[in-house]
Amino acid sequence: MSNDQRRAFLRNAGLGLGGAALGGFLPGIGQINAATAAELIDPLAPKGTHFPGKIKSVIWLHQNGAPSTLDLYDYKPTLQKLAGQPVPDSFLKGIKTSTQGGVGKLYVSNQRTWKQHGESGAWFSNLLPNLAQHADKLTFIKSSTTVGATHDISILKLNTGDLNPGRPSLGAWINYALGSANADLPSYVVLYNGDREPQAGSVNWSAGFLPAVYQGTAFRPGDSPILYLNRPEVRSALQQRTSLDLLKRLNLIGAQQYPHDTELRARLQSYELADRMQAAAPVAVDISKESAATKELYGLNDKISQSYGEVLLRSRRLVERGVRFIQVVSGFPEGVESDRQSWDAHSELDENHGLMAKMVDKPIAGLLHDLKERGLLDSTLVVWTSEFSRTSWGESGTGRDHNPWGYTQWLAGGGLKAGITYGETDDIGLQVADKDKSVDTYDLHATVLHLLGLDHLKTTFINNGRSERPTVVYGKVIKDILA
Amino acid sequence: MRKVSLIFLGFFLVLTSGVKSAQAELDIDLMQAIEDTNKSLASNIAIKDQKASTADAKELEQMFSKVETYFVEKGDAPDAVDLSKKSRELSLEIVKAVTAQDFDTATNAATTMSRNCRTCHTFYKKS
Repeated sequence: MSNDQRRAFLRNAGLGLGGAALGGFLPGIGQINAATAAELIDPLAPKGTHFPGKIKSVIWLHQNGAPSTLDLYDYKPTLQKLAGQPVPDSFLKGIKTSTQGGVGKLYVSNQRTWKQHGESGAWFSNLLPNLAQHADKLTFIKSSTTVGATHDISILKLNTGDLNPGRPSLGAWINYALGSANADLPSYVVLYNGDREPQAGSVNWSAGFLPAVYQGTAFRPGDSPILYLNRPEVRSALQQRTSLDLLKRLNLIGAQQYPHDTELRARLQSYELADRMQAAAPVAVDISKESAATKELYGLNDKISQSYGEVLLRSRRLVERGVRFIQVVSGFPEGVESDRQSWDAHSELDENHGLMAKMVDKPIAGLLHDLKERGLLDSTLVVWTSEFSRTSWGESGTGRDHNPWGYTQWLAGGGLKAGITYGETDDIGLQVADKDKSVDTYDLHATVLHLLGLDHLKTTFINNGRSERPTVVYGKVIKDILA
Repeated sequence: MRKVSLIFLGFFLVLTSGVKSAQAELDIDLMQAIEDTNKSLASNIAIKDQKASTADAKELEQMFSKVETYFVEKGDAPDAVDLSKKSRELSLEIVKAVTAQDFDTATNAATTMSRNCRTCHTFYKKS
């Protein structure tokens, strides 16, 4: 029996997927309801929230490589006092360490100075002089914890909530739950600076078990963020439209027969989106017409901060155009030679963090200022996050090892109590002081979703017969930081 | 099929608990069974399956009882005793809530229970 005959037989016998879909039942999927059917027509159509949200967009600033927040935000006089001494046993209780050569002596850089800023009196080190000027806009979480593994695995947990690939990223869940607010642009965009893609890869903006249409779209750094965006000169707009229309008709015929094929649906959407993006995207990512003052604000006039500043300026332009989730992965300044192209300072922390902090400090400060000036900060959430942080003890004499037990992240924007600090680490900045206040990645995800008007417990998707949610089986909204 | 396997595993653990309580280390299979059953519970509460949620919660109550017994006998981990006791009590709360068709309360209790697991594994692993 040929393929055509077999398909015809299945259709005639009422077992073909197309026929089944018409009848409202799919083998292995069950009954499809009206909502599912609507999603099959336009999975990115805007959808309602569970309750009124405080924000419309999220800029997720992943500081890749794990900065030492002990050297940026978490001032510890006791650590300064005990520097050079072995770590007292009382601080190590309950944690398993794996630093090569054992736990070293407590370490403090002799180049670090600290000062309080703003009415909130938040501490900043001398590494972040520009961001410090925005102290009162920030909501610090100084009791962050996660599972400490390799960077790639902990980054996966930061973005998807699991240590293994296969779950959707936070951006994909948001895309799935809210749909798109701008039909001409992807509603989930990934940006990065530097000369290479983020080391942990596209699994961190994957749709996982959600339909593929909800995955993030990565924009390259530089002058051409979207490859092959422009129509070739030899092809007229009419030719392109006609060929897309034909392709759409053929794909729709295929999709009717295979309604469960989300890859095909995603492809169908992406052809149409690409067509619309040819008009909308160049304007969205073109920063050439921004004023000289704005470019200066984002640090574009400094070689170290230029590439990261360009990315953050694009983020603001995407927020203005209704993009829901912008995932920014920090890279490395262009033209600087180094084997270690991230915050991962196992040695020579002063040199590494001096460079990395200079790369992000002015652009992030500029972003906060710009969002505020344009009236966008109230409807946007900016999140400083990392896969983990770094230890109180030294490694290799001049660096620090990984610390998943207690570190700082911050949020800024709508719906938050600004200028406050939630939680704290112990006196040497190693572990969360009050375990009841520990904030895991799931709690951060639950809080971001809450600010968007989504209940993380009710944002669900049936995968292989099991109801899944963004926070797996965990997650608690950090109510103390909400306005 | 998976559910049947888990139930079988649960019975197996019940039958062998007397021997295992004296072991130096907590049985990794028991922990895996707790994790699997907990995920099943979260899903069954979300889809409001009263029967399956109740069965999962009762199974968890028995398993947390074993964890609590282990740490009581171990004698040097009061935090772990407290957390496993709280989790056992939460399992019973979930049974009550699900029986009353109060799935919101059950979801919150299940999430708190999951956090207890996480807290125990993150902070008291070596105590």
